[in-house]
Amino acid sequence: MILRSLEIENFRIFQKSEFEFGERLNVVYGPNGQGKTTLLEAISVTCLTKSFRTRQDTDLIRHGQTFFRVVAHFRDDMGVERTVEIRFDRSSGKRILLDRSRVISAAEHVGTFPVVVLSPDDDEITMGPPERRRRFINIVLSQLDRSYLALLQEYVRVLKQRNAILQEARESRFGLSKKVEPWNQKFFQIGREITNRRARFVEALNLKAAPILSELTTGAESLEIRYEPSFRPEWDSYEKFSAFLDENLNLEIVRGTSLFGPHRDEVLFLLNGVELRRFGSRGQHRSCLLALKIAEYRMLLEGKGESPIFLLDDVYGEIDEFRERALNDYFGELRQVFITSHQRDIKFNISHDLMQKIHYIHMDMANLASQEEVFEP
Amino acid sequence: MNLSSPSLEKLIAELAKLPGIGRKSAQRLAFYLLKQPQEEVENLARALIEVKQKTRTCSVCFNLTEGDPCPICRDEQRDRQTLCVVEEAHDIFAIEKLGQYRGLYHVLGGVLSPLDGVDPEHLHIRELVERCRQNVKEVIIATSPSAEGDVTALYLAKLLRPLGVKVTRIARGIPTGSDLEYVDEMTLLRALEGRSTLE
Ligand SMILES: [Zn+2]
Repeated sequence: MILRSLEIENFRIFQKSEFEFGERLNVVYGPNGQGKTTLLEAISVTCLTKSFRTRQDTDLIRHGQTFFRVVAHFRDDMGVERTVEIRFDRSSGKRILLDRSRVISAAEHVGTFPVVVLSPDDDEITMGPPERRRRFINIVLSQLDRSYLALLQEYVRVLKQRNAILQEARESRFGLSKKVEPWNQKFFQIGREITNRRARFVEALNLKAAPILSELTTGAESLEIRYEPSFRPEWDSYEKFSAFLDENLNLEIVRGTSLFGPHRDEVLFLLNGVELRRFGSRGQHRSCLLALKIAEYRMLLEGKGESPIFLLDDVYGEIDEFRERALNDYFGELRQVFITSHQRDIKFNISHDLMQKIHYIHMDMANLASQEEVFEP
Repeated sequence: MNLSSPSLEKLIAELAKLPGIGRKSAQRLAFYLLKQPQEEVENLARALIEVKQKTRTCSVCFNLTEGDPCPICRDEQRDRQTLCVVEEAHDIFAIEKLGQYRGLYHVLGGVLSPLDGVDPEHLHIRELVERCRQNVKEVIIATSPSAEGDVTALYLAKLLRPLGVKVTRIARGIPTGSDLEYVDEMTLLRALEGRSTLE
């Protein structure tokens, strides 16, 4: 799939801008603070309905405005032109309009235009807290699996409802067991389903990423990705789960929150049998992340039958010889790539055809200012 | 906006309060109404006042009605051993339009939602249990296919089953997150036909 052009309105520093893109490598260059990352962010919003930089959609609205709007024109691998418009309004929320005619939900949309993002923030996937790994899995799995996002949204809803009951129980336990029981049942049903899908996904991810890491390190490192679900395997029926919850209900009431479920899942990355997060070197973290991202790309490509777009934010400032070689080895298989860079000329040597057709997008104050409305309050 | 007519401005403001009506639609409607003959506008105004004065809830099923009990509850031709449980009275409209269902209804007045402070005692559940003690054989739960709708169904099933009532749930053919009101008729019909017994 190719992103051909993008219209942006009231999105962070952009007032109203239009961009055209090249079919292979797009280099977005200019000094910092001129909207390079924001352009990539707007692209990710058209694919994921969410930014890779913030969970708060209101953060994306330009200062003093009430809404933002992004319109992307894609051409899929079959050659069909597709359009998606995402509009977020402070008061009425988000609206996704596909092909100018059909209003769809986020759960329906995500995965239609697959995307892989690699930003400095992604270091947290291997280094940060468990929620960063769950988020990584959620983003890939939501794109791969048509019903996963809806399932996840429903889970979050049930979790909030259940937590509300637990918090209320701190005041009064009157009728508590009767009240919480049906929520437990739904919680188990959805939680089990999410756990199963994550387990299958992590297994597939491992199969894809391990050989890549092995190649990257010329066989020196072997990767194992291990899913550690909060739901124990022995809870194979609701009765068993329910009995366990009953035993731990007091603890949950004291904490005022649900202590068991997919929102507590962990994923471990083991390098040569040693936990990467605790013992890994910076280089090991980076090669692992790169292997994950290439694996993500390949899984989406195979799973969707559509080549994802690849967004590479600001990693070039710190490119080293290792990554240069890695990019050289793997970039050839990517279809359309967007990278941000300080300079126009990227300071590394990539031989394949991706480098032959570079489309440059210059971002600077003048460029932005020309699109700015002159307005003094 | 600075309109020369405060009464027109007032009408636009009132119309804009209606669900799904934005400021622009409200203006269009207001100007449309202004162009209508005096009689038409008075008919509309009277209809608005009458519906508010005359409509009440049925003391048996909590449907909206002018007479009590409602015409559905009074209809001796209907199957009095089957109850269809819905969230709101407008869900009855959606199912009645199909012309397929011949039983009676029970309006809950919402779904369980601890986040919004909606507990069983805030819904017409006690009244439903009372009705089920009197010769009801099957209860079809047609709450919306949301987490809350499902959990309400589970709660009711647990409550009603000991009374010897068969409790079924309409199939999840309905897209998640949608109100019954907005589901097209074929989907709703299939959902009613494909209902399953709640475990
Ligand atoms: Zn009635």
